[in-house]
Amino acid sequence: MTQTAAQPRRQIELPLSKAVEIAYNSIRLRFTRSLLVTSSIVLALAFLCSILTTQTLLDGMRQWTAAWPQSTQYRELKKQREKLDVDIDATGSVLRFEAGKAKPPAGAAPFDVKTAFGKKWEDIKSDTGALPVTTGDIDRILTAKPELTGKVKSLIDNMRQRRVIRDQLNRPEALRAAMTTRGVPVEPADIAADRLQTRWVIGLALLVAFVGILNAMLMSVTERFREIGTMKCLGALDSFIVKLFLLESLFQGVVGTAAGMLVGILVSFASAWISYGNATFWNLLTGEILLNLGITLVVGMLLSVGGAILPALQAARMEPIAAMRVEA
Amino acid sequence: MTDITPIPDTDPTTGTVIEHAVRTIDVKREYKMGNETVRALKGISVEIGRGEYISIMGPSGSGKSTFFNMIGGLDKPSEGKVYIDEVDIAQLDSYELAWMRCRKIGYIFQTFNLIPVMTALENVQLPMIFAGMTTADAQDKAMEILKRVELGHRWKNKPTEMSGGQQQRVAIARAFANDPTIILADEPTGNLDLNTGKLIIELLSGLNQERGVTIISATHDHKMLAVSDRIIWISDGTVAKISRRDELKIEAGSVEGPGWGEGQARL
Repeated sequence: MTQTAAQPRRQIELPLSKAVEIAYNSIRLRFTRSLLVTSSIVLALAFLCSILTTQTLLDGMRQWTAAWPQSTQYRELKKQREKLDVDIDATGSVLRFEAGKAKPPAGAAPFDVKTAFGKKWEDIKSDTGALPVTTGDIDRILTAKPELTGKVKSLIDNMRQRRVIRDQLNRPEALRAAMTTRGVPVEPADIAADRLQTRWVIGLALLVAFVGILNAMLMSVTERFREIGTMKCLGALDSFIVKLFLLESLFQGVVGTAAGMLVGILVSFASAWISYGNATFWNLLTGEILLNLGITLVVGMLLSVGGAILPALQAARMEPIAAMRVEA
Repeated sequence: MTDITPIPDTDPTTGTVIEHAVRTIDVKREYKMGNETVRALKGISVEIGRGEYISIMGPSGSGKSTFFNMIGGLDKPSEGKVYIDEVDIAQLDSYELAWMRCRKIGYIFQTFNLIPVMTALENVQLPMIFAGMTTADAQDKAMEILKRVELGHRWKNKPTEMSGGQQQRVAIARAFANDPTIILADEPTGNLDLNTGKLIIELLSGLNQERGVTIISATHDHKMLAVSDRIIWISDGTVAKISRRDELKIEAGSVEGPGWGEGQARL
């Protein structure tokens, strides 16, 4: 009988690509289970991403309102308005002068505003605001002197334009008012307080997501104890089992985070656009939005891998005897 | 078959002749259950030669499973020595144990334990992948073995798409993947009907003959005994009896476990 001990060799570490392949297949075929894990990641990350993006959009708008009086566009508009004011004043004094003496000849056809300007006086006045003279006076003047129709028309156009410019110049006030009615802080102190509160909410949401992932992965380990035991019987090293679980979780993390980012971005842009309209895009802080996406991605990865570390270690520690147990 | 590497009778590194697939010397195993110590094995010494077909019989609670796990390198003894292929398993670290499980031992389970997300071929390939074989080589070899168990046509089926007998045959193919010295089969027919079980036993004994692999099987199935070279009866943590096949035949008609009166079997 031979007593000399034969030398066993050491099991080799498999290349990562093998673990990737097996983990990928496993996740693909356990779609429903992975959907459960993924959905919690999607929700949490969508929440994080939308809050960050909304904040950035609001920051962009706040910065825009603050920077508006210094902008060249603001100065341009102001200049245009001054010019319009001069024109309107001039035409106004002419009309006031004419109104004093205009006496339409008897039998002259009454002035029809609808044919001349295409709209009724009420509609015109809603575009222009109060005219320098009453509409009755204008009717009278134009019946007497139809050659002044052009002048009145340009007055109306100018006044209409002045209104548009005024609205444009007042955009920051309107935006601030819109923010205030929606409870969005505009004062620096309020903004800081709001940030702090938001951070708490984000932290809680991520904690919940982390626990969700942890729980789902632990369930997945428990469900697969026999499979893990079998793999160990077939020669899998502990490190391979750990890799398998971490990779599975990472894949779920990537998919979940990508979906969460997309949802978050869409939701925040849509809600900002519904609340503030085009103001959303006046000062889009693209760099910061990209940074937010990066943060979301990193948090998603950390969350999914971090949540899987404990279950993966638990799986790796499992004895191969587990594969022998018969009870299902 | 061309892919079969004959199992070496000599250790490639030392050149010494290996006679025993498994050898145990006074193996004891104790568990702590709360404050009580359970003595599952009370000193078992057996020698199992290369190429033998061994059945381990014993009622539940006899220590049969513990002993079986011990010689499969799945558990370590509290006292005594277990040599698998003349290697003392107590001396092995986790890497060496994994190597052993991968190359030296093929496991067959009562519940088949195929990886559910893998096809038959991938399941058979898995141990080869663990052994570091390239995917292409592993595929060819796995296919060869699948053909040997007559499941070449089902290679791309998932376990759920196969019957119990087919699953067990895939599991057998997987156990043979790395040309092991020892096949450990834990109740391999336990979840199968009579005829399927018979086919599995025939397959195992055929592979035992053709490859000279040692097969050790824990079983309640008396059909298994008919093909076994020896039967080790475990009772109360000790070896109650070791019977040879020819002795069984002399007993003509019934197989009796020593003392626990287990069922009758026609042999």
